[in-house]
Amino acid sequence: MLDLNNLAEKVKLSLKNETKESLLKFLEEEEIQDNECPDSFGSLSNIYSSNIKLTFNSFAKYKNGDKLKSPFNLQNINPVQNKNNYQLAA
Amino acid sequence: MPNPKIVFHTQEKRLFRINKPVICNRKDAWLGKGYYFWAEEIYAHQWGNTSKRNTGSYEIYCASINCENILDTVFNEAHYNFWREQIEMAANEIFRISGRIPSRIAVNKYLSKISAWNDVSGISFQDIPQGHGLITDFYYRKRIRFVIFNLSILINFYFHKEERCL
Repeated sequence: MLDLNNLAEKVKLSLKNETKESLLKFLEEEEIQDNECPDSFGSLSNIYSSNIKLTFNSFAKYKNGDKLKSPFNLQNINPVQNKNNYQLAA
Repeated sequence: MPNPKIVFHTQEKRLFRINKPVICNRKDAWLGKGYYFWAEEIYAHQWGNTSKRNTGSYEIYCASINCENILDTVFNEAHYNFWREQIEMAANEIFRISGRIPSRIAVNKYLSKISAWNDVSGISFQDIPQGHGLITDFYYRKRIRFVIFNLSILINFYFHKEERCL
């Protein structure tokens, strides 16, 4: 069982001990690592998932175990308009 | 949340099947480095068709995870409020002290580097919600994901099925 109060105290304490220098160092290291991290998926990572439509019939068939019918209609995928809508990755 | 819970992991189909989930290092991973899973199989298929297309087919694996120390930000109100407050407190303080606005990655990494945060084995969270083809503008379906930070809460992991990308 998570002790949320204890965790919150530890977060507070950690932040209290930070200085401008320590945080700038942390943020700069983070930026370097971020730039080094490859994103091999390119524009696919910008697909806005809400534009992927499920159709009722295909979904029903999928739920009934009909593997021949895809539950997805991917024709309606549009590139994301707002770049802040990050697609989750895994 | 049932304990243990079965979740779904999608990967490109390769020559050999995997016997453990693949850690995600992508910079657009919402909660940073970790092992990501879908709560529902349907979204594991969707993910295969959108982001695991490189080899033309994808594989879905099932895993049972021990949810005892998972932060459930989707259905547990206390957990959600706690999580939101920690994110906002960290962001506010980092900005106040350093004068710089932290990125999503930086905030997540900052929280994970606090030793007490090791108690959190993973987080369940809500992705961009989804609608239904027959209802316009009604994104009522939660797309729930899990990120786990170490494999110690993984009870088992096994191949489920493979599909060709659409």
